[in-house]
Amino acid sequence: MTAIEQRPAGASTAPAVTTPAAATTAGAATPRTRILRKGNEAIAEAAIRAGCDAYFGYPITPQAELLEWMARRMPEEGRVFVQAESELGAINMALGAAAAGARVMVSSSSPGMSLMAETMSYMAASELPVLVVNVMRGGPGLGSIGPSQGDYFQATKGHGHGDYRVPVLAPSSIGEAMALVADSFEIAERYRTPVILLADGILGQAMEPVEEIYRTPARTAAEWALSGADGRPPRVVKSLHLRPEALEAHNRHLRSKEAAIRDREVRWAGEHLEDADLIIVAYGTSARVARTAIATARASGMKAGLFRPISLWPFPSIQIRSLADRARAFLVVEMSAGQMVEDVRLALDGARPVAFHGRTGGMVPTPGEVVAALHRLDIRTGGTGR
Amino acid sequence: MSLSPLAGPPVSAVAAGVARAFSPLVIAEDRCKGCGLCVVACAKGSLELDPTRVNVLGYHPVRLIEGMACSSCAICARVCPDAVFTVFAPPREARR
Amino acid sequence: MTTPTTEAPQPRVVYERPELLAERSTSYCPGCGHGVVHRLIAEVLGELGLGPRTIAVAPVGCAVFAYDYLDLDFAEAPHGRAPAVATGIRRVRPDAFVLTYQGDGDLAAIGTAEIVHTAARGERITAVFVNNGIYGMTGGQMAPTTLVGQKTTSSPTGRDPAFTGHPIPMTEMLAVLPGVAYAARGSIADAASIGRTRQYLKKACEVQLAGSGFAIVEVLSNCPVGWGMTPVDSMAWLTDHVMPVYPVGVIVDRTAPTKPAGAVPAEPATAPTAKG
Repeated sequence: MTAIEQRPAGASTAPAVTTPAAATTAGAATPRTRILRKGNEAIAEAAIRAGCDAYFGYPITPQAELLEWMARRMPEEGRVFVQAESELGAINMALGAAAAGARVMVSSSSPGMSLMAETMSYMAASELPVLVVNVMRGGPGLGSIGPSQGDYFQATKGHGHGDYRVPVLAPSSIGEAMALVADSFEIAERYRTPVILLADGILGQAMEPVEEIYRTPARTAAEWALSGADGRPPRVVKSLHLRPEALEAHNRHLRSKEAAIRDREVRWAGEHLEDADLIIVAYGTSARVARTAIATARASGMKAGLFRPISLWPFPSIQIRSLADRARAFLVVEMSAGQMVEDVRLALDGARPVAFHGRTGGMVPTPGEVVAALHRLDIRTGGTGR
Repeated sequence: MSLSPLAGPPVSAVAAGVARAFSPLVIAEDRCKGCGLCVVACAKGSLELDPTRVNVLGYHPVRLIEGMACSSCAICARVCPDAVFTVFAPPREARR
Repeated sequence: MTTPTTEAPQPRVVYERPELLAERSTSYCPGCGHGVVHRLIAEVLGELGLGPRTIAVAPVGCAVFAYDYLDLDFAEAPHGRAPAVATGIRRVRPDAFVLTYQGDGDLAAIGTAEIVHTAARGERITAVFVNNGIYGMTGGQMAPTTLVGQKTTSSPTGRDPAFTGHPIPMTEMLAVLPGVAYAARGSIADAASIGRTRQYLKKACEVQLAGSGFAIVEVLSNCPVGWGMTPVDSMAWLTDHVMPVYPVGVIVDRTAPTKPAGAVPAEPATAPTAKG
C-alpha cells in the first residue's frame, strides 16, 4: 500500500465530489477526487490505512459509527477487531495488544474515557503506545450526547492517577483528524506513550468532503515487546516499582520523555495573527465557530485573529506568550465551563487580560455570541468598540 | 551450581553399601521458610526443622534427620512451596 | 574426588526444581500455596516445551510478583483485567501461548466482567485461578469466595450471608458458557491433590494448544497468615472446610467425547418401530 493515496478506496460507496477549485487548478495533474465522509468513519479508515493492527471498542454515542466501521473493515483487512464488554475491557485489551507489540487503537466518548482512566495511567507508566480517540459529549455524568470540550482537563492533565502526561491532539476538521491519526500512531510509538486524539460530537457526526489522503507511519522495532522468551531473557511490561528510589528514577525517566515531547511536538495554527489586536484562542469545533466570528469582526474593522492549538498537550504556551507582544487581549472560546482558558492564563502569566466565552451541556457557541464577546472584550480593554 | 549428592561425601564403587555414603536429598537451605509442610508430608517422618540453625531468611531450615531413612519418594519436593528439595534415588547398583 | 577404575554409578534425579521457576526466594509467606502453583505451572509449561512461546499475565494481589518467579514474558494487568489483557495479546499474537494468573479478588470481585466475557468469547487462553478465600496482599480482607462464618479483617465476626451473601462458585458459573472448553478445580492441600491439580493444569494447557477454547483451572489454596493458622493447619482447613464448599474435580470438559453421565444403555421397552 502506498503511503499517500489520492484516490478513494475501492470499497467506498460514498459519492465522489469534484470541487470546482480543484478542477481549475489541476492543470495536467490527476484530478483530485473528494468523498463525503462522516468524521467517525473517516477517523476509523485513517487508522486502518495507518496500519492499525487491532481495534478494541465499546458502543457509546456519539462515536458508535467508528466502532461499526472497524467491525466491518478490520476483518476485511485481516486485522483484529473486538467489541469488548465495556470500555474497561477495551482499554485493557489494548494494553495487552500494545504490550505484545501491535499498533493499537481504542475509541470512546467522555463517560467511557473516565472508565479508562486507571489503565491510561498503567499504559503511560508501562510506556505503551496506544491511540485513544475521545469523541467528547456533554457532561458531567451521563450528560448529553451533544458535542462538548469538557474533557480537556481529563485529557491534558493526565487522565488517570499519578504523575504523567500524554500527548493530546485536537483536530478541527475531519480532514485534519484523518491526518492526525497517522501522526498520533507515530508519536505514540516514537515516544512509547498513549496518545489521545480529542474530537467532539460534531466532528464525529458531521459529514464533510475530504480527500482520501492517508499515511502509514513506518514501524520501528519494539525491543521491549512481549513475544515469548525464545532464545532471549524474559521481558516484563509493568508499572510496579515498589522501592521508592526505583519509582522515583522511573518518574524521572518519564519526565525526561515528556520534556522531549514538549520540545518537539507542539502544534498550532494561526489565522490573521499578523495584525491581530484581539486574539481568540480556540480548538476543535470552537475554532471553526471562532473563524466565522473573526470574519464578521474583521468585516466591521476589528483586528481579530485566531490562535488554534492543535497539540493541547504539549500546550503551545511559548507561542501564546509571544503573542502578548502584539495583541491587546485574548478571548478563549470553548464548549465547556472553561478548561483550556486556565492554560492560556498560565501561559500569559498575567501579561494580558483573558476573557472567556463558553457553552456547556452539548450547546455550541454561535458566531454571533463570539462576536459579541469580542466586542465586550474590545471595550473592556480600551478599544474603540467597533 | 552443584547439587549433586556427590559434592558431599564421595561415593565410590568401593564404598558402595557403606552407610551414609549417599544422600537422597539436596536442600537449598537458604530458600527454606520453615513452613513444616514437608515434615508432615514425609511418610517416614524423616524430616525436621533444625532447631539449632537459622538461615538467612530467619527460619529454621529443614533437614533429613540423621539416621532416618529416605526412600526418595519426593513427596517433600511436591508439597514444598519454595522448591527447596532436589531428590535423588540411589545409584542402581547400590540399591538393596 | 578420584574415581576408581570402574565408572561410579550415578544417582538418579527423581525430582528437581523446574527450569522455568526462577531460583530465588519468593516474597510469599511460609507455606503459601502460590509457591506450589507457580512450581506446577513451571513444570507443566516445561514439559510441554511452552516456555519460549508463553506470554503470561500477572494479577494484582500477592502474585503481582509472579513475573519475578517464572522465567516467561509477562505483562502486568490492572486489578481484575488480566483476561482482557490476555485477550489483546492472544488476538495479535496467534502463535503465542497465553496464560493468566489471578487470585480470588482479581478474578471473582473486580474482574468478574472480564473473566466472564473472555470465557464467553471462548478466547484460547489458559486461566489459572488461585482461590484462597481471602485478600492476602492487602492484609486479609473478605473475598467473594470467603466461607460463611469465616473471620477476616473486613468480616471480623465471621461472614454473615444476610449482609454479604454466599461464596461465589465462579468456575461452575463459567462452565455454563459454551466458550469454556475445560474447567476444573483442584487443590494443593496434600501431595495427592497437588498431583491431580498438575494434571488439570496440563490438560488446560493442552486445550489451548488444540485450539478448543477457553480453559480454566481453579486451585483451592491457603493463606496461613490471613487465616491465622500454621501452614500445616491451613492445609487441614482446606481439606476439611473449603473443599466441601468448593468440590474438586473436572467441572466441564467439552473436549471429551459426549457421554451421558452415568448412563447405562437401557433395553428397548417395546419392539423396535418401523423406520421412516
